Amino acid sequence: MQAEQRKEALKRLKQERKEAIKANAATAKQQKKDLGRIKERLAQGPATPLEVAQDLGMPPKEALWYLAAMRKYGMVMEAAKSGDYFTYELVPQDPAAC
Amino acid sequence: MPNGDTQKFDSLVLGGGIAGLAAALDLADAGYRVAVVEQDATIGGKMIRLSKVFPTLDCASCITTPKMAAAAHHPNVTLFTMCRLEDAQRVDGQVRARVTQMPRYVDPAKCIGCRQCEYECPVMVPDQEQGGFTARKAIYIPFSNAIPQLALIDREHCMMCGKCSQVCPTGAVDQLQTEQEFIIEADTMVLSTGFELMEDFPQRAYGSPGLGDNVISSLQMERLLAPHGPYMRALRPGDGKEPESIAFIQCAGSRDLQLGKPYCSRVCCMYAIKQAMLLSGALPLADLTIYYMDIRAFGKNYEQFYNNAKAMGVEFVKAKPIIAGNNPGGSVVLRYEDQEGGSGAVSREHDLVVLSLAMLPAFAPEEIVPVSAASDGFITVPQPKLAPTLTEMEGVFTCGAAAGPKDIVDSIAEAGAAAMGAAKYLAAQRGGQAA
Repeated sequence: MQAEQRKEALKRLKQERKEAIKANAATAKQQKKDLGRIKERLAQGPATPLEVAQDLGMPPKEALWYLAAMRKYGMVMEAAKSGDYFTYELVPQDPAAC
Repeated sequence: MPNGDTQKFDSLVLGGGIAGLAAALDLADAGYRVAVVEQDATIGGKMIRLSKVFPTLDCASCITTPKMAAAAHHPNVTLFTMCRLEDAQRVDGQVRARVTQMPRYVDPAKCIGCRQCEYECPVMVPDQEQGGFTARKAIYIPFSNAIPQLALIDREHCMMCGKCSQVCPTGAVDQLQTEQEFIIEADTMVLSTGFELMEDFPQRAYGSPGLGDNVISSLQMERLLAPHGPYMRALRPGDGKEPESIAFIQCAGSRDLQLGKPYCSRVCCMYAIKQAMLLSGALPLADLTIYYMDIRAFGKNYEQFYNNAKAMGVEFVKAKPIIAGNNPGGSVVLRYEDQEGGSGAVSREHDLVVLSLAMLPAFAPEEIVPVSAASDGFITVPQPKLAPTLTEMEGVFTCGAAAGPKDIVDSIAEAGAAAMGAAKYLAAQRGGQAA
């Protein structure tokens, strides 16, 4: 398929999937917002999933889900234990990588 | 692969779990050309998703990964992942299978598995490979030792922002891929389609879509126990608490006439004991309780394994509890009749409850392959004692959990028998000549 034809086909596909794309974009926007808030919270110091949830007004299960995902993608790491819970902190930025 | 293309093999293995891979490798080592058709994005089946195996407590991944790699690199094995069998019939002495290649939306010839697309993708989706306890992206590689190491796009959650295309160093992303149908012709076929868990048990038994954040399935517990699991340690998914009290409810769906599953799933007793022993190591102070109907420790060294668990302090309670509710603190309330202690109706709370869910067939052969399913839904084997891998279709064999609940040991033993049956059939077809 030629480049121009591909472009047209992609445009049609996006049009066909318009509603799903809109819904997924809204989800991604909310997730970006939540991740930003969690990062802001952790910038103040390590926190347990329960503390993150309480401070940000989200269900604890959701806070843990985000923290597990952030850990998977290298944004946070496990820190000291606080009672029955582990705390999480931001992964320090490598100045050499900037 | 172009639509309508026909490929010829000596044997077609349907299902790339441990039984299918074992059968495929046995046939391939005997010199036969084998096609492995797998509907998942990776081979490895359920076993690659487990933490350890009973009764040896060997690392499941350490056993499965070499088998997966051996199949991927064997010159006589061709893997077809993300492929769905539409139907298979015997035509002119050959099994003629119509297979649909489902789109990855990533060109497998170009993808190098670098995961740059995954890191860049802005959409997070519950990662079912990790029990839903963490996220993956809308474009992703299923897990770190998946084979093949190829990305795929979850079209349902993709917002087509194009970021994956922008960062892909090889231009592999192809949103315009479509399903492609092709034909596989083979002399024999092995059905190794495995099992699923009764994930809808809460709906079936309680009429509720869920029983709370801290009631999980046995496969979810496998992920919590896996070294590369979602939290990299055993935590309660409802809030991240390190659980102090964990309960296992056996026969959740199995041996239950009301749920239409009168059979025993055969592996639940042993994997619950295994999980309890692993938890005992990970959380030495936790109370571990297994609520059981009967303990069925039938295999070699299984009874010793059960006795070891008791000696380690795992509590066994003969009862069939119901989940009575969840406390505000997240603990789960169980209520049961104390059959052995004589205390009548008892309530107990646990931080985390694991349901040992019934095994269900993962494949319904009706209108796809001319073999029948037995009353339990698993593939019928007409000669279960003398030829447990034979099916009703000439030259078609079955192995593993496709024919009924089975543990890994029995699945692999059966895979060898199915491969031997297929090899004998092939040799007979060719006038007694082996490959």
